[in-house]
Amino acid sequence: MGTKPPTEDKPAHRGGTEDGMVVLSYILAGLLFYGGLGWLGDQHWKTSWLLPLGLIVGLAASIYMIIKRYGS
Amino acid sequence: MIPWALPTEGGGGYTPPSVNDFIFDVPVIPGTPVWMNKPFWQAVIGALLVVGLWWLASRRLKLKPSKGQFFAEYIYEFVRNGIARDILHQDYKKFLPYLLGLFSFLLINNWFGEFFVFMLPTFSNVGFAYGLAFLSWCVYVGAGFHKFGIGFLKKALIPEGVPWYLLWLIIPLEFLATFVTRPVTLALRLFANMFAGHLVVLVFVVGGSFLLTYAGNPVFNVSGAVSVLFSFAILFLELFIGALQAYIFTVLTAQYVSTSVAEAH
Repeated sequence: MGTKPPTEDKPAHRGGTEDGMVVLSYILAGLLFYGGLGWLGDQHWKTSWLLPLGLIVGLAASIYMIIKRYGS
Repeated sequence: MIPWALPTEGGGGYTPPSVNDFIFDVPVIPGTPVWMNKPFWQAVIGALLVVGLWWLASRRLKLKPSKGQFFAEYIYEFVRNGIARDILHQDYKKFLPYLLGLFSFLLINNWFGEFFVFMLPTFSNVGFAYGLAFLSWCVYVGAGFHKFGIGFLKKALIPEGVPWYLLWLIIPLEFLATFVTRPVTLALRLFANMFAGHLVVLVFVVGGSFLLTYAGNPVFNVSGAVSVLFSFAILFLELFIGALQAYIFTVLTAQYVSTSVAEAH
């Protein structure tokens, strides 16, 4: 205590476990949103293939977004 | 006979620990409202302890620290250097009080699960975890709006480098991820860890003591004794998990604040 901490100015990147837990919310969001849309479509049109399609699309979109946000 | 009790051999009336052990519908002080139950008072006592201990620790600081001051400074520097400054860099000062308060509040409340008298982690009650996650949500969303105004929405919803024809796919996801699933995962991670840990302890202690006092079966009694002894090892594991979850909650809050206030680059 007492000494002024040096202010670093490197980009916020820690890697490891914390990033993994942050991207969890992205993966959940993709699955929930597009899976949910697919489920609604299934209910509405009495089909059974929209939910899996929605889950896959959602997961793909999530992964794409994670790569965009954290990939570089 | 309680309806959810499993029928045991010989009708011993063993009630396994279950979700029902986490329901507190009796107020601690008779005559007060029902919501002033055990977890509520634990949270209040935990908050008072945080305020009181830090007040005590910050009084009469010496250049040559005593043991207590050394310990308090150790925790303070752990949160300041290890969490706040490491993640938030030059912005860390504004958020350090919240992060430090959050970390100590979580640590104390999680360790209540191993503490005499209390013996219950406050956040094994999901409502308290939701409340705390909502507070963190207010902090990181508020920090974003404070810094960028309404432009924070654009920054949060539209990631850079995504072509315009993919935006319809991405914007709802960004919205959900930033404003909905983040606080929910924050709350549920804390709640599930504390709930499961406490349930495991209950299984070992309640089941063990039932077997230990079971009349006329030495094998049961010996395994009960082993189980009760082993519960101490689980309690130590829970001490570790409580500290770990307090750390993770604080780190993720700092992470979210840092993504809210980070300049676009």
